[in-house]
Amino acid sequence: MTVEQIIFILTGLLVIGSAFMVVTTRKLIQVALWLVSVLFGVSILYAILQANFLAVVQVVVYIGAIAVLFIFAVMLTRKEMRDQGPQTRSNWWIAAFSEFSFFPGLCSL
Amino acid sequence: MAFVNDPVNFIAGWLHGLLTGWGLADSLAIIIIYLIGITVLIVFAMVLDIMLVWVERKVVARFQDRLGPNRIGPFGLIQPFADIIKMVIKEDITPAGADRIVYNIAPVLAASSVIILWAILPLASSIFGVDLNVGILYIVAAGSLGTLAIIMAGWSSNNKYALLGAFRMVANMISYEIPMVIILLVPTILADTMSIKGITQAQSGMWFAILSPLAFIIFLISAIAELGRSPFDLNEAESEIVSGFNVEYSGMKFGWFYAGELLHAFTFGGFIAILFFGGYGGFFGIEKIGIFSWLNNPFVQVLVFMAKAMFGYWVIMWVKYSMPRIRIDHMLAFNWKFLTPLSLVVLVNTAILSKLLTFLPPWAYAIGMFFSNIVIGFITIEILRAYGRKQRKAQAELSQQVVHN
Repeated sequence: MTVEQIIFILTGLLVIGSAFMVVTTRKLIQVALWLVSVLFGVSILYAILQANFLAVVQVVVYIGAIAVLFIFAVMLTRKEMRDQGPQTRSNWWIAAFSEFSFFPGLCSL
Repeated sequence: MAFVNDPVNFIAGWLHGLLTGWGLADSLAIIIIYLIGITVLIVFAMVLDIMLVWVERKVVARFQDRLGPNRIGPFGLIQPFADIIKMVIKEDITPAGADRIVYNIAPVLAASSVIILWAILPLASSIFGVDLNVGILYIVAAGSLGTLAIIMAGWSSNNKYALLGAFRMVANMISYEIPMVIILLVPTILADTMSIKGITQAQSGMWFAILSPLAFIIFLISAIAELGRSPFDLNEAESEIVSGFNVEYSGMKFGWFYAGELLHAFTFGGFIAILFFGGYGGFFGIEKIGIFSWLNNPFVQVLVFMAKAMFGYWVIMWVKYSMPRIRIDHMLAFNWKFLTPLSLVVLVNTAILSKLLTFLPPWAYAIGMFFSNIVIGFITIEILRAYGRKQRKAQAELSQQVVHN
């Protein structure tokens, strides 16, 4: 295993873990900050792939503009900064099944 | 002589030989050398930062007709170390109701958004972190990370003043990013590259500050706004919102914000030097003459770069301690109604003239570019004067009507 593979796996774990936190965390500002972490991880992946321009533009556009806009929208529109109610829908198992069948397909590429 | 002409690569080659001699794999040795290089660069930046505390305090004292720190050590040189010890031993307070994780990450992110800028800062022709071909965009990206750190600090402190300061700072940074991005295209057009090192090399014959003085002035203004320094220090306006986004931070957490701000100012002084004053080079071609070939030595280049960056930093401090704070609506109007249109005009002018004048010899090209900027500046001042006269006339007529009625 080369060093690049180790960095790739660590970054992938960061992205997946942060993405999981985005859909499970209840505090909305923290959700936005986990989203920033996902976007930053994707930018690291671009940098590993030698796509410097995409990596930098990812940070400028997504973190610099869109994530900041999200945070402001949440801060200015919500009185209660906490998400209530159930976090899953009744057909969540279909999504889970398609996701878990998609992952081996990606790995076999 | 190899060490004198190319110290970084000489040490890296020596370390590589040493590590592989110990039986390490080649790729692992390269990774270790890179990690050592990163550590050395960050340590250099942070030690410089400690000395910047002294420079800042001494210079502000001189601007305010005081002596500044002069008790500890010669010229008060040991004062910053005393400051650091004071900060480290202060009590670490977390306000009630604060979002602990975000609250603790924010100062680190604020300081690291500055330190990552050092990755692309070429200290000399052979001493630099990485020569990105999108270096200009990298500056903008690092700035947007700084914005995020300030929002995080302001929100997680659970304090009205902190949140107000963060809102003001974000309004400031997002609006002044626009003239900055537009004006960063001027060196890009003049040098035909976005690489920071390429821009430095393109100025070996002529500084871009001479080719486009207006671009330099607009970049200086938007850099000061990006730094959140006076006259754009609404984010930490002491008289209105106590200390803005960092009001709840104590001890070394505050120290990170402070250190980040100082290093940010110095780094932007460095970028002013690189983008408009030739960075480590820019000797107008005299370094090619035999007697002056020592100007190409990396140690001399580092000294030249540091001197130019210090000068840029000094100008930023000069503005900071001479100007009163600007009101927020004036600040936004100044940006959107004046700075952004002017920077667009300068950009279009540079784009057209740099193509039209390419057939001229270099000195005629430089004169043409310089005078086109002078003409734009003159027209701008005339328009502003006419506008101001109209405003004053309207006000005078209004007050006369009030008197008659």
